Amino acid sequence: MFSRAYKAAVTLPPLLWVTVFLLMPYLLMFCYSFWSVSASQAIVHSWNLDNYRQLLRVNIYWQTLLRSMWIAARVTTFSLLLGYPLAYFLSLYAGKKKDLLYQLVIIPLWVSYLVRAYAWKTILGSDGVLNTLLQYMHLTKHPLEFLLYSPFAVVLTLTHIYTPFAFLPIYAALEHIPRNLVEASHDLGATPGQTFWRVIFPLSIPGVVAGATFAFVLSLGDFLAPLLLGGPSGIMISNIVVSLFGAAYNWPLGAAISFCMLLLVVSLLVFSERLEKKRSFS
Amino acid sequence: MSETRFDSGSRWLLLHAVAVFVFLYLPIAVLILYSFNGEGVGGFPPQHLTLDWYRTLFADGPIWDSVLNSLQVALAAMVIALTFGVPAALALERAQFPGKALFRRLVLLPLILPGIITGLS
Repeated sequence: MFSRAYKAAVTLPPLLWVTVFLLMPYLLMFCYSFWSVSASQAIVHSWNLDNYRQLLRVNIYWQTLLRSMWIAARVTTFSLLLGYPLAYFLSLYAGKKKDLLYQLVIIPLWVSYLVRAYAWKTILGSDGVLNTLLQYMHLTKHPLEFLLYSPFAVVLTLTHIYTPFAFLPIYAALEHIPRNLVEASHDLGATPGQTFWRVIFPLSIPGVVAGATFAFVLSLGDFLAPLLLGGPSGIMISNIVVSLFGAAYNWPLGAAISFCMLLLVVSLLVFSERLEKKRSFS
Repeated sequence: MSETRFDSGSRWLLLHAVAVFVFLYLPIAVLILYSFNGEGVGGFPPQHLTLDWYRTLFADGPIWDSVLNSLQVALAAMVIALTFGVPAALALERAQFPGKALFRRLVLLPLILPGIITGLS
């Protein structure tokens, strides 16, 4: 019913876009990861695995990658703990206010990421709102130093930023559960707890998997929050990539780290898609 | 569910929802509140409420130049995004063709890949 010309017109431009601006740059990066930098700071096109060997040998690289994954895991956990009950409340209890509250979850996403990260800086700093509030209430005598420039600050800010991302797919999954299943469960004498754990929660798992994937992958690749709020102990892998591409001028090593991250992210995406498919009931 | 049962569980859910909204809006509220703060740096409570910062803002030429710049960039980005995005949406919604699932994955990939890697490449 659609002509070949129409199909070509709607598929070719986006494909061209993805090829030119996504696949080709990644391919170039993949090539870079086998090259090296000479003493005179020129890129040498020598095909070998030295960059990958260095990744494994130098502790700071894989340790930072592990720490980034640990930070991302915590962000994912907290985003789910905040997002799931919120989505559950909106979907099943909010009644007519549902749409309004849904919009209220989305609105913070319109506020620039940078603005929100800086706002957390004003809140958490040693002269910041929280520390002066605590001293004003005589709960602490000195500013709490761990609040800013720490992994704590990074986890808090990333949780703040990615909670709506975790919320959205969970809410969508809950909204798609046929309400007569819930009613049938009640009618057959299940307690609210049994209805939740045996009916609602299993059906919402695809949403949870999608939300967790969003939160984990996006916070794993984040570099602004650790840059602004992380301090030396809150550095993440993306900051290392940025410095290798910038000040350190070691593009090949930076490309090797990027490629490893990409591999990790893509395999996570494939894994979560499999899991979602297996769990979806329709 | 039209006949909402407000048992003790739902009260906890309501409390949780309020807490999450406070968490989501706290930085934005702090930002607005402290834009009226007379003291240069944070501090609680905000003191000497003033509109000085807004006067400074409206008197500052370079800031408005950069606002104009941002608007131009945003407008250009929107136009380019639409020229590629509308056909992609039409393709995914209306047409059937082999490799559609792969096409959808490819087009949505940039959304989730680490922005920094995409930017650097």
